[in-house]
Amino acid sequence: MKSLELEASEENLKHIRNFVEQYLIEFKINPKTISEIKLAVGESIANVVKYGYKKFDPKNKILTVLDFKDDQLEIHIYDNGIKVTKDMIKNRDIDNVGPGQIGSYFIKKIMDYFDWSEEKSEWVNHLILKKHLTKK
Amino acid sequence: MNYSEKLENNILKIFVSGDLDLENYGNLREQVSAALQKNMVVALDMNEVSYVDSSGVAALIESKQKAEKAGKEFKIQKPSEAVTSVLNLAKLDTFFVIEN
Repeated sequence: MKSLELEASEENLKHIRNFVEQYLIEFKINPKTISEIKLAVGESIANVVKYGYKKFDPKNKILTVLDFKDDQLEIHIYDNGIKVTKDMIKNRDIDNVGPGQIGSYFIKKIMDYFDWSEEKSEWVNHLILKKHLTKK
Repeated sequence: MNYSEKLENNILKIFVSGDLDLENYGNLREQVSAALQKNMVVALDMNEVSYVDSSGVAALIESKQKAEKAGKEFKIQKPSEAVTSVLNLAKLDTFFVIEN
C-alpha cells in the first residue's frame, strides 16, 4: 500500500498522476492500462480541485491511497470538499457532443467500480475506484 | 503560458505540448479563440502532448464549435498517442478533423 497527501491545487494534479503511474509501473502493468488508470484518477482529483474545494487554500488536502488486493487495484481518494454522492454524477449525452460530463464518462469507462464510501471517516469524501488487473 | 505559433499556407498552427489538463486548458482555449479572430483556419499540432484530460477535451470541443459558428475551420494535426487514445475513448475521433 502506498499513499500520498498533497495540497489540493491544479499544480499538484500531475504529481498525483505521476504517483499512480510509478506505482503501477512497479507491478509491470501494461502502458495503455496505466495511461487509462492515470486518466481516471486524474479526472477524480481534478473534480475535487475544481468542484469540491473550488478555491485554493493550502489547508485543503487530497489523500490518495493505492493498494492491490489479490488481482484488484483499489484507489482511495479522500478530500474535505463539498459532499459528493454518486447520484450527483450526470450521464454524458454521447449523441449531442458537448464539453460537459466527459470526466465522469472516462472514470466509468475505465474503472470496474467507483463509488463514495458511506463509512464514517475524518474526511468528508472517500471515493473508491477499483479495477481488476493482473500483476506480473 | 502561450504555445508557439506559425502561419503556414494561410493556416495558423499552434504547437501544443506537455500536459493539457485543468491547470492549463484555459490558456489553450484563449489562444485558439484569439487565433480564430484573425485566421480562417486554425490547426493544433498535438504531436508533443503527453497527457490530455476532460478539461483539455472540452477546450478542443469548444474551439471547434466556436470555429464552426464563425464559419471558420479548426483541426487537429499529428495527434500523439495520448491524444488519440483519449479522443477514441471519448468517441470523438470522428467529431474532429484530424490530420496525421
